[in-house]
Amino acid sequence: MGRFLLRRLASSVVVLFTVSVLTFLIFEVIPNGNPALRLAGRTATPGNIAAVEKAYGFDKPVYVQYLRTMEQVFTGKIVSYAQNLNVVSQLRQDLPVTASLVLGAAALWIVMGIALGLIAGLHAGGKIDTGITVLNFVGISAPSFVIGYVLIYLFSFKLHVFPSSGYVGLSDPLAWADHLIMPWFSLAVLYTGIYAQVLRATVVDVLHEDHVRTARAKGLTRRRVLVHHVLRTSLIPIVSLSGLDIAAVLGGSAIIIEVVFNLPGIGNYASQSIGALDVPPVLVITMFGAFAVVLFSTITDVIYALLDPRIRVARSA
Amino acid sequence: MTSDGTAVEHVLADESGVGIPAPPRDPYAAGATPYRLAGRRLRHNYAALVFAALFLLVVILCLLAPVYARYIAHTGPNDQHITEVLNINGKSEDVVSVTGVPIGPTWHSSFFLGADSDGRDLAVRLLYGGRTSLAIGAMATAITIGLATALGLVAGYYRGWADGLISRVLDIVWAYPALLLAIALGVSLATGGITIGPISLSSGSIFVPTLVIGIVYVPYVARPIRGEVLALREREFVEAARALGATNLRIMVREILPNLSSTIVVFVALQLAHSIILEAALSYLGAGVQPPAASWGTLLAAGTPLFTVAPYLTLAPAALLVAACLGVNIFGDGLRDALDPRARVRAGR
Repeated sequence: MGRFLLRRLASSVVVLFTVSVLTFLIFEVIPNGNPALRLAGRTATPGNIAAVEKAYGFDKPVYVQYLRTMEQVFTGKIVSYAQNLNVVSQLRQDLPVTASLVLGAAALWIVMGIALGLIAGLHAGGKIDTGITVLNFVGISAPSFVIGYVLIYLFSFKLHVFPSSGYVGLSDPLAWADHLIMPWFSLAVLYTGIYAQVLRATVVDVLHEDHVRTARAKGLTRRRVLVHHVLRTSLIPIVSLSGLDIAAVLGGSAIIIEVVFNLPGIGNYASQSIGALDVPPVLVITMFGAFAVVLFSTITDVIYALLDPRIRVARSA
Repeated sequence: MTSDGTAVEHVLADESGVGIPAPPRDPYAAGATPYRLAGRRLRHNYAALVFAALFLLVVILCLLAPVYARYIAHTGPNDQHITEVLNINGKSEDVVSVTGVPIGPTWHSSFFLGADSDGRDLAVRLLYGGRTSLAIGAMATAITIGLATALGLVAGYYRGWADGLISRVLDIVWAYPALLLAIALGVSLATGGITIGPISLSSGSIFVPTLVIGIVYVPYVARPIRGEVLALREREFVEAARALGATNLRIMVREILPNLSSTIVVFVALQLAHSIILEAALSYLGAGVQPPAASWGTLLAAGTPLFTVAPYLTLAPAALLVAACLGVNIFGDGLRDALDPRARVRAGR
């Protein structure tokens, strides 16, 4: 296991390095990407622009600019072009919002997905299965932001039950949950549907496997067979999915949901920075997102190996 | 497990005695190919067929968009009618009111579903938008499934350095917050095209979102396939094939790939829906299909700010999008049940 983690650490460094280089190059290549034009202001003369380029080092070769920027990233001194604010401190301020949103939603979808999938799989072919399956498919087939708007319309404008936007810190847990319940649900609906479908399919398959028949034949109780033999095997795809999905939501749908519900998180910061083609925050957020993915996928692989002894971590890594 | 794949419980529950396999339930099964059997099972799965029909209906409606626009609505998808006045049941109404609120559904041939804030016929735009969304979804799915299957198969089968290399590349694609990349590309391309070597993309090209969507999902499909191949390659039938002198390519394509088919089919359906939905998300953030071109995503994006005054602007494209995705998802599920006899619990009855 130690050797496996060491190898993962090495590959994580490679992934993060590649991601940072790619991001840097993308903003070099795209049109209208020259930040000096924006920094110099609306009525800039070519002289102004050249001065800005010199001050920020845009006149240097790309690799020098890259190294300089990375040095600033790792010393925490990186500053955004647009607002001239420290990116790291801005991120630190936004992180609790995004973490609350994503982890809460993940807890919701894992619990709902496993519950619905197990019930449907055990009643495969019956009315309960059909009902759950239809629900799952509606969830899978609807974009999260549309669910968000429908929820806002129903529960904020019509029923006045939940606030339609904003964030309250964890120091007031009730208000915190009150503001996040609709965003959580909007994010969780899709993954609940996927997890329930995947788990249902696996449960149906696993129920027919030899080890389950053996377990039943040797007289184990239904409950024991279900938890130790069916669920343990069925959870493998769920585990492999959830680590990835949590990380993917961080750099994906969380952005949209934060925009829809006006949550002051990293996603909102990212979408504003991209709109202004503000490279430093985008670079840092992209690396942060990539780091989250690497971290969660390593955790996933470890759990994966613990759940299924057939897969040998050291060899598959 | 009996030879025809009938469930274990079925054998145990039978009065015919424990241990004696139940007779094949389908008397016509002998001699039929697996795909014939699958087709037969699918024909009895009415839910799958109904939803397949729903999906086809949406596709056909969207394909007929020019016909609808020309002969029924008498207007194009980008024609604005802001200042026009309609005569509905003897009452005259502005297409777009003085306060900027567009007309709601008229249920007449023109402005059947109402107008958008630019006075364009929503129904016409909905159908034209569907063509774009479906095309993007289909092309992106083809890219995802093709790449993911090939990569997953090679990585899982060869393991070693091939697996290491492919897994690292997948790690990078997957670790890259793709929505950020897509928004960045979309925002910058909205202001002008881009040329990188031989590849040149114009600002309005739908290939930008298509390519982004297609590549984004590759790791999600490739990882599970790789995992499945890792397990399959240790199975006896692979050993048997190797003992018979089959080449690696033959083992991958003829022995392992068929065992992945149900997984791939499920992913095709899921990906088609996923891709259409991601297109909507990208367009919502302004990084997908660029206006004035319509897609379900751009229509949703245009509708959401007016949600409280004109909810149908959001609900109509949402309904069509959900209908298409629902149709293809449920059909895909039925297809899976039909292709995998071991999971015939639902389809077989």
